[in-house]
Amino acid sequence: MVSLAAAVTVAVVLTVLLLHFANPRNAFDINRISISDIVAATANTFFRMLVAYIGSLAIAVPLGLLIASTPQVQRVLLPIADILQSVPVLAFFPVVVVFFTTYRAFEAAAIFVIFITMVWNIVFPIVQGLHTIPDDIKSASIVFNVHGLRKLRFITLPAVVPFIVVGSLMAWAQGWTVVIVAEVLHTYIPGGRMSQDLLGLGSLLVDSNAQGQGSVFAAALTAMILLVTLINFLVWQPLLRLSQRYRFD
Amino acid sequence: MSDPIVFERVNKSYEKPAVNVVHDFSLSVHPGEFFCLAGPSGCGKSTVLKMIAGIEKPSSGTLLRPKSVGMVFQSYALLPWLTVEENVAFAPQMQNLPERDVKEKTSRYLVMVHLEAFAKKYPRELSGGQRQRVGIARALAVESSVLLMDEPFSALDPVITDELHEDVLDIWQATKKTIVMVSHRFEEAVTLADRIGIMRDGSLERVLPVSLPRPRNEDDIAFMREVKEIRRCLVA
Repeated sequence: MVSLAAAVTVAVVLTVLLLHFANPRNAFDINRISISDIVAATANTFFRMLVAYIGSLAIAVPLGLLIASTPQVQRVLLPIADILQSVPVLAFFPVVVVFFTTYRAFEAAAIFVIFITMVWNIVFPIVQGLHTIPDDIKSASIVFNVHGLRKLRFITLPAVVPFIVVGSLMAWAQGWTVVIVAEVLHTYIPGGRMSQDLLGLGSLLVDSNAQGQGSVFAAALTAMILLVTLINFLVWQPLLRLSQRYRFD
Repeated sequence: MSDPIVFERVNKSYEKPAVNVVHDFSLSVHPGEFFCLAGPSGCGKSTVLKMIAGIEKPSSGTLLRPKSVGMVFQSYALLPWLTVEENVAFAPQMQNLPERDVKEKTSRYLVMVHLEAFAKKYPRELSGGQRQRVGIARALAVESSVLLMDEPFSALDPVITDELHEDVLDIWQATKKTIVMVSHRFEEAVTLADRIGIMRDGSLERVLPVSLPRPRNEDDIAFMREVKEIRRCLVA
């Protein structure tokens, strides 16, 4: 069941990525939205979330390991991380947009903001998870000569799997909230126009609402609910079940 | 030949909080013997065991310890994401042995602890006694001449504990290993050990040889006399 879910997930991800690369167009006219636009918007939004999540995971795991590495390091880094995570991401979004649009990297601006939202949701559970490894397990790793990268691979990373899964779940939940804002770039660009928005479910929701396009709004909302439900069913539920195996009693 | 374990005037203290856990500890464990460190909770016996295992280092004094040991933990210390056979295989795998040797050892020690039928189960699916058998099999799979046991039966019910006592004695007699066990139960120490080191407040008060023939019976007068002798040492 788990392997089937994993296979379906990989297939969905690959399809989405292919769709995205086959249709890199971001320009859209909110008054002339077709079904294929809704599908492309769904793929684009998912793509942004996925890239931001992969980036978050790549940063959060080593950062969490670093923070929890020694009490001294934790005393310095944990308060810094705590302050950084409490800064509301949307407060500096206009600066981020201006910076990225200078280089015409509109996509990167949205992904960066989602990334910043997601990353702390994964870092703190990892730090917490590392502190739940029982002392006897740490002693066993010394007795059985498990050090360095082997300890990381065979003990530390498996031990934080449940915390990564829970953190990821929270990260995606936060990401869905922010992606709606992150795709509507024109509101953050001085003198911006709606045509500067990125095609995605977030921008369709905001722009269709602004233009009174009720049917587009309903279609985008339905697509988002379906996407969130599908990911929850195919990814998070199997992962949550699997992660129970990694919990210490 | 078993590796020697010799403590000479060993002290162990911690800085934060400042506490002297073990002081002026001298002991020589004979190769192939079953030695038990007994004493009340917090007397430093687990710290002594951890020093033999290399988990803790002495603050001063000399300690001669084996290069590798097998160790059984009170809380089993099994990896919950690995099956029973994967947990047992973990120790030889970490010694970089070829896959064939790992399989052979895993299978041999699972049979020794009567868990071959549970090889594909996860620790969560086992009883406390079965989990501790996995812990024992994993410790044996190190194939060191020394086996350390840190209050291995204190979380188990008396019936299971009696069964495991018999199994551990069988394994000890079959493998001729040196066993150093920590226990706060004096009856358990007398049931199993050749000699009992009685600890109090971080010091070794006395080493008491147990000359009773095996199997030992808790209801025997001689057995009760040995237990009483340990108690007297701690009260004096």
